Amino acid sequence: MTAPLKPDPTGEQFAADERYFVDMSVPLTGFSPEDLYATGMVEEYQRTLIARIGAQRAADLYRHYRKKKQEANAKSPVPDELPWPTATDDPILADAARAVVKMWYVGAWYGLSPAAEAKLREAEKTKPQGVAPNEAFMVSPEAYLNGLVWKVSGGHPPGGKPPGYGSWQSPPVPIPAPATGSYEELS
Amino acid sequence: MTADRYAHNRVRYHAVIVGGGIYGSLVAKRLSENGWKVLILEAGTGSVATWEGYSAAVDDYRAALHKSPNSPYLPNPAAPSPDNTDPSGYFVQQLDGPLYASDYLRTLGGTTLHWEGVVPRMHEGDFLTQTRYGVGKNWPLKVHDKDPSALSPTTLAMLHKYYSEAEFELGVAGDAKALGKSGVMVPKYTYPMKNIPQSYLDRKIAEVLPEKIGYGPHGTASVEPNMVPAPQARNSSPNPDYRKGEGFRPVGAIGIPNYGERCQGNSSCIPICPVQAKYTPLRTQSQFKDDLVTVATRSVVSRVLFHDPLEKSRPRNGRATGVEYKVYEDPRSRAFTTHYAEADIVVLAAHAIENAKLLLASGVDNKHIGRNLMDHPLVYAKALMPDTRGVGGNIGPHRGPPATSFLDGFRDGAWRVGFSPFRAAVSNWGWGGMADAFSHEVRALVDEGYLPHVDEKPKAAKHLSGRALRRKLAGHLPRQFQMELLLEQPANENNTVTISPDFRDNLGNFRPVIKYAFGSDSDYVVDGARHAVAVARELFTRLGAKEYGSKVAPVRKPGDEAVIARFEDGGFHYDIVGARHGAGTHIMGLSADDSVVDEFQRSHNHPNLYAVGCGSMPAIGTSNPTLTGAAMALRSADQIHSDLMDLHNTLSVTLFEKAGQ
Repeated sequence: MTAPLKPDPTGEQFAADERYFVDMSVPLTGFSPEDLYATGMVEEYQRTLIARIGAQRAADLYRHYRKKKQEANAKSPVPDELPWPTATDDPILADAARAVVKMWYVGAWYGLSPAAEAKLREAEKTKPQGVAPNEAFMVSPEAYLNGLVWKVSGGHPPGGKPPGYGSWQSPPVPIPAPATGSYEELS
Repeated sequence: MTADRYAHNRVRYHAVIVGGGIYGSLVAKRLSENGWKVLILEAGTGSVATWEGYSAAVDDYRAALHKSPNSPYLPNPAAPSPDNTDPSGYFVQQLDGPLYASDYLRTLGGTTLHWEGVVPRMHEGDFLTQTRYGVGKNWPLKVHDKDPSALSPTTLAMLHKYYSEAEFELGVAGDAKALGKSGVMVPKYTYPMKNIPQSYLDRKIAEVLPEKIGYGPHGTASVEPNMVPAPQARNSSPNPDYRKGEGFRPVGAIGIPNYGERCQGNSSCIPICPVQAKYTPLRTQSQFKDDLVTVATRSVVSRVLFHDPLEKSRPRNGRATGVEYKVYEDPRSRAFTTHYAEADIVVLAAHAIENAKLLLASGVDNKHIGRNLMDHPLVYAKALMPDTRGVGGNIGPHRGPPATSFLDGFRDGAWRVGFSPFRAAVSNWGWGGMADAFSHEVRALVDEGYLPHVDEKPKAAKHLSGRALRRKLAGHLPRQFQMELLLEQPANENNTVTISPDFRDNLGNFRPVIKYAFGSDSDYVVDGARHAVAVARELFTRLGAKEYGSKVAPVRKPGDEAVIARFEDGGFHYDIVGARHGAGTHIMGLSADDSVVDEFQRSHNHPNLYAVGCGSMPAIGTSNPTLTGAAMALRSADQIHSDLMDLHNTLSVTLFEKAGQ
């Protein structure tokens, strides 16, 4: 897995190597690749994204964030959020990017807006990539427990990862601030 | 198991209990300890009553998008449970008015599977609100010879006896000394388990607590507030001093008896404790003697019978002969078979609303059945700790049990003549309290670029992501906390549960038709809520915290939580919701002229029919009612034992004291 990432992967290439998904998730979430891998959720989220919008569109989303990340890393200071795919250019990708952020933070796939969903169904008629209906759902029990929101909440996911008897009488541990400087790139 | 419908190979029980929740389980355990043969008929399934089933429910909870109290437990169309987000899904009620805003759970273990586990005793004044304050109804308990506004010493001793027995059965952790005068208590009492530590947030509040708070209209009532540790039915460490050195051994987890954890701080007591550190009725059921207690699930009782369907010539004498029930194989099917279980004593223990439904369906001739439906009106005041750009503002929401302390002092006082008292708890679980609450902030920031209640909604949607989103959430979520203000609602005859042939479930059983509002007590409750919110505000100010809330009147959309009433105060709109403390549908009293059951929860109309649970309570004060319900169920069990001794004409009957008499 040491081959460099391609700047313009096909859907198959995106699906075959989880680093593409992690690479685009770094600027989307504001967490480092290590943090994202440590959730244990990378492959399940990657599969969820592909199943909902198709592998080629997922690869397109990667391409967007690769480009924006390189532009951002060239700036000083590095901006702390990157431009979304614009809704006028591609409403499906814009909504999918937001769905990916919410999935990382909450563990649930909340789907696309009705407008983007309609566009997706339309596009599927001409060039089908095979996508499942976009209903909101929790990706898995583990996804809920590993939501990034619990890393910034001061607590832990209710119903999992318990901090131990009596731990609640102590002050909560400080919450690390997000990194500044260049975004990590996995290539 | 019991006989098929009207077949003659029937089995007779000493008692048949309708409902496998906390009260039914406690009665069954105690009766069987006295050697009586008991049948429990549970309408729901027993799917969580094994280690595997319980673990599956924990996973279902984690996988649920909406983490409502019933979310870990499978829906069951054959024995439906009400749902707060669909208040006319099972209940029949008008959606355009005030709503009965509480749910319950029909499965083996009952609603106490998803209870909070907080177990305060009631105050003496709560039992005599009519005499003392001219509000609501009195409990029919013996009062003091010289002072009718006080309970007699024997009544107090009876209450203490059954409270402490209930605390044993539930394995309560607490510090009686610190509780002091909060509820009926004798000096030097020891709880079975050691006190559960108060939270960091509790300590922060205790630090700023003034000696006195002016309370009520123009601060006329002066209260000395106190942050007392909340007694809780969850495992800490057994107290070696319990019962003068006898100690206490908690019951282990279901299916793994040697696995018994202390509370690990999973912060999901509502709706499910993953390690079973919190008491559930499954624990009591695990102590049943198999040869004496039969538990039949998927058995929905449709009515109590007062004749013998197998022997028509048997005379009718006003005594219940048993119950008719429907057994289903598949919860999704409408198919069922009808059966008859025969018993000396029939005990309804199916939840206040279900009990009322059954009494009505059975044709019990008492006009008070289904009246006086009550709940604890609940109001939340939300605040953010000051942003000190560091750990100072971080109080760590979602750590530990939901409430580890009560802000005490507002539960009983002379002001109860004019407005509702309240029991305040500091919620350790952030705004909303439920595990999916923080998803609202994430979604609002990503989809619309603002924090609900805190930021103005931007005219054009913005979308936050990346480090900006992470920073915004980290600056907000750790500072969230809310005060939970639980109010008293006096019994009101116009709040009713009725049945109608027009409204039935899949098996043809009745759905509860509900009419519920604060009505003429509206001022009593809402004024109490305003004064309670004022106290919360005073604390916020002292903490340097800022209150947030809805600045516009919310409109209920389908899928939203049900709300009883709303009011505006200080620029914010507050919802008054239900606390899942349904009570008062078959209240106890002196005779059939004023009530449904007597002080032993025995029907005035039928001497061998009992209806136990919160439905019997004429007033619930500001105490979470489960502990009081458990104490009363144990008292009923003792009385049933005495009844059975009489019935079976045992020679030693005179040796047995009648419960509390």
